[in-house]
Amino acid sequence: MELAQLSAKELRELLDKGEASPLEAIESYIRRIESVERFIGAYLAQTLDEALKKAKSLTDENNPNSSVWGLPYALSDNICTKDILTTASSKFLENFVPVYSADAYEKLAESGAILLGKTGLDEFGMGESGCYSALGSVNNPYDSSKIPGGSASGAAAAVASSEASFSLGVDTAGSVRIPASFCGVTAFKPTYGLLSRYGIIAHSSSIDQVGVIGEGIADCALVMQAISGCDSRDSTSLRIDPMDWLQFSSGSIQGMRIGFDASAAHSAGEESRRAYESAIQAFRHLGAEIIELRLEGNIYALAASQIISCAEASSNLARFDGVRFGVRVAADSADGTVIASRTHGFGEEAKNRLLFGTFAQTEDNYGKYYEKALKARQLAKSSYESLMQQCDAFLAPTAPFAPLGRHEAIEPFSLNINTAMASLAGAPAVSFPAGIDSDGMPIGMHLSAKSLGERELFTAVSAFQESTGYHKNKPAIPRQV
Amino acid sequence: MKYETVIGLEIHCELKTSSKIFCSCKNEFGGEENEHTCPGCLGMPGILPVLNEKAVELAVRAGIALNCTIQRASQFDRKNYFYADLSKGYQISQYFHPICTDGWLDIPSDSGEQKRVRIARIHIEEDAGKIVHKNGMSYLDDNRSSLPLIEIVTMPDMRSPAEAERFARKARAILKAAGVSDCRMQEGSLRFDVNLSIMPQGSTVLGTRTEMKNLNSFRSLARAAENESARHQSVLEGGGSLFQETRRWDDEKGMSFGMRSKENAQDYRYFPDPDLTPIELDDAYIENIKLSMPELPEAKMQRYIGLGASEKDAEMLSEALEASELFEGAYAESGNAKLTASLITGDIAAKVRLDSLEGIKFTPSDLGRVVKMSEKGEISLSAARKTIAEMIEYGGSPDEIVKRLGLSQISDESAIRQIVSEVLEANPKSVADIKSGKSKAIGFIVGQAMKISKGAANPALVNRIIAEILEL
Ligand SMILES: [Zn+2]
Repeated sequence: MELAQLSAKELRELLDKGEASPLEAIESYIRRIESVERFIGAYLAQTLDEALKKAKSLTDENNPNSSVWGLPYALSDNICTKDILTTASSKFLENFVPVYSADAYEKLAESGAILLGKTGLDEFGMGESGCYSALGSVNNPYDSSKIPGGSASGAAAAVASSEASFSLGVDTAGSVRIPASFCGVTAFKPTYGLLSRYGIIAHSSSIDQVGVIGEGIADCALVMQAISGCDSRDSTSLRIDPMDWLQFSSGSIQGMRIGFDASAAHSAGEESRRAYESAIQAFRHLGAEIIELRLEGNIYALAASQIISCAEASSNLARFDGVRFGVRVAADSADGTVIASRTHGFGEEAKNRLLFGTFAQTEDNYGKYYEKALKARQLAKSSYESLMQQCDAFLAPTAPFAPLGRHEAIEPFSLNINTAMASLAGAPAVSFPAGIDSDGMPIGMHLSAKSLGERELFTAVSAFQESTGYHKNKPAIPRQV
Repeated sequence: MKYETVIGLEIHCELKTSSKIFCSCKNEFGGEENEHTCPGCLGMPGILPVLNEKAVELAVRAGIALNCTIQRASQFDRKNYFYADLSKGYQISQYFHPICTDGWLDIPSDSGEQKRVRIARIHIEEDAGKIVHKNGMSYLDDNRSSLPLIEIVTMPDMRSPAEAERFARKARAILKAAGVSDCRMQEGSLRFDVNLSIMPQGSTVLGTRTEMKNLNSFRSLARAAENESARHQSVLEGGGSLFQETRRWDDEKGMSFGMRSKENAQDYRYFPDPDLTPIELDDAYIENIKLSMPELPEAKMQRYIGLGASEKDAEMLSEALEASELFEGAYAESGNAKLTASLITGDIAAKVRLDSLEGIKFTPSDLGRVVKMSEKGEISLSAARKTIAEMIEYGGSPDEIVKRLGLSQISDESAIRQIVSEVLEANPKSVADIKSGKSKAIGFIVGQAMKISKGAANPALVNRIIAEILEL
């Protein structure tokens, strides 16, 4: 049996019992990467030599207590890793080697998890399709002609293709949940502030949150146990007592109130609608109280998240001006150099968003767009909060439609219609597999809770996964026709 | 037509913290280029700002000292623009909700009475780096990047360049005394922007305003304002019209040049900085700072007057922190406020700048000792001055200087009686004059006696002995 085929939790149990060693695990993952990576392209860079070295040094240690000890994993390339190239899939950072590490990476390294490499994403996290990397594109492991979803496409694809036992990406309005849905894996976006943003290359600072991708929610819990906690280097980091994540993924959901809104699946197509209904049934069978609710404000949330994320991005990415980082296209004036460098350095989608974000914040437009977006965000937040007073968790399809073909046009931001609301509300959400459609593509469901409602969320998804086993489905790579 | 000049000031003042505002790099002037930098102040992606609480405390102190309302909630915003010295592509500042608002400062107006200059706001922001041009290349030095600043914005309440300069000087004295800043102009820790317009005397409608940025001395502030006021007047009198613009003052050429007009004005796209949480202050915090405020110039001046210093001396001393510290130390030794103060504002001020006392080689108690010797008649006032001049120039203990230069005053009666007798014998005509009532001649005799004693005779004693001998 190949260790790489196991979930993080299963592998961790074998490591714990001494039935497998970190070195054997790494060797299995290296074999797996060697055989399937050419079909997937999940990684922008691999760190396999260092991984072997670390695995050897870990093998000698006894009684490793951390929840992620010896687990091979991948990081989305907008998470800074000291001395390791961190590109954010942008030409601007093509040669950028940070002298610091993101908080999450530091914590994983200290806990004995083993980094396999850095995965591709839409440039600076700007995209939902996974097609906007400037440095190499990622394929959907289920069907390379379909989009993997974005922005953290490589992080989801790596786990889906068993090229990593878990991965971290950065979620803005759905950046780990959408690709998890399209690639058939589980992704968790925590309450805003639960994980430090230190060392995360910012896209939209008020929404960005590190997300965890694993086969099932139990795998996400192992990772959260290792990486959550307050960080004084991030002013928006929540000052709260540590949670016991390993406790969250067990227990009954008897009496838990799970809300749904049939209209949330309207545009999702027949098969997705059926998967939605069957997920509702599954929760009912598990003892949850199912409540039909009306989801309001998600359309405003989507618009607000577009404006806010693009506007914040236009400021966050202003530092890429041809002076300090990467691309410099010299012109005959200082301003000219800034313009030429940015014109050449950013990809089309990034430029569209930066222009849009800049436009929304100019003095003339601030009141018309940006300020309105901030108000819409407040409205969305309060309508989300009132929704959450009526239920403990709210269920919807993660994506409004099945993965499109690579060359089909996508209405910008349209994929985030069901994911943006929890993002704007700063609330936790999970996307988890809920079946396979007739094209053989995975269908993802989205469950979200109130801020810091992680316990309910994990318990519910865990119960669902133990009873349905959808998350155990694996793609055949390359696809057998 | 007679015009009136209308001036508002923006004062940028670097805060006296030990580290930068959003990272832990040292706040220190000088050093190798980029010695005081880190990924944060270099603008590297992924690093987040963490607010230095000392900067908030100093901004609150400035607000209290300048009679402002301290806002219980304020917030940081991003000011977005491209410039090579701006490492993140935006400056973290406070735009929508500054930490202090609605203050004032009274200054003497040109017509002599006190006038109140309103302060619209004080906000906290970070400084930018510096571009260094060398050998045809441009380099970046980020030692200054992210140093803590406050910007004090006044209302257009000043009516002449002289008033503006007076305001600036007084504000500087207060900021220094309050411990907010070192206010070292030559290091750029205090810079002024002047907003100026003119209007016909008696009018209440403000004219077109222009702005001159980054003036770094009182002299250039006053000159730039004079020059700009005259330029406005000549444009208007020549039938031309002014337009709103930012101008650069060239101190060497003594004139200003247009930089950019309102039409090309930067749109800074301010928005709340999502990386920083609002600053929330409670009453206890503000009260605590109020209680721990150092004495400010106004109160200090009143206290010095109470000690016996002249009004003018008290004012000069209270407005220069270093001089006031020298005064306090010297007064503790001498117990004579009037003489101590006048020696500082007179003899010492003639040689050294009171607002820095740079390079002085004596201690406050050395000065006190000199005053005390003079007070006790051990040395004359002129000897005291000589001693002080010597101390300024070379340092050394006052007793040693007095001894070395033979400045001890002869207060030995018999010695002086001896000298006086000699002088009287040698000048019978003067003696006759004195006796016939020409009291002027006494001065001549005293002068002769002082001359023989090489200035060491106690003049009061000389006078008394003359009177005794001549039975006046
Ligand atoms: Zn620094």
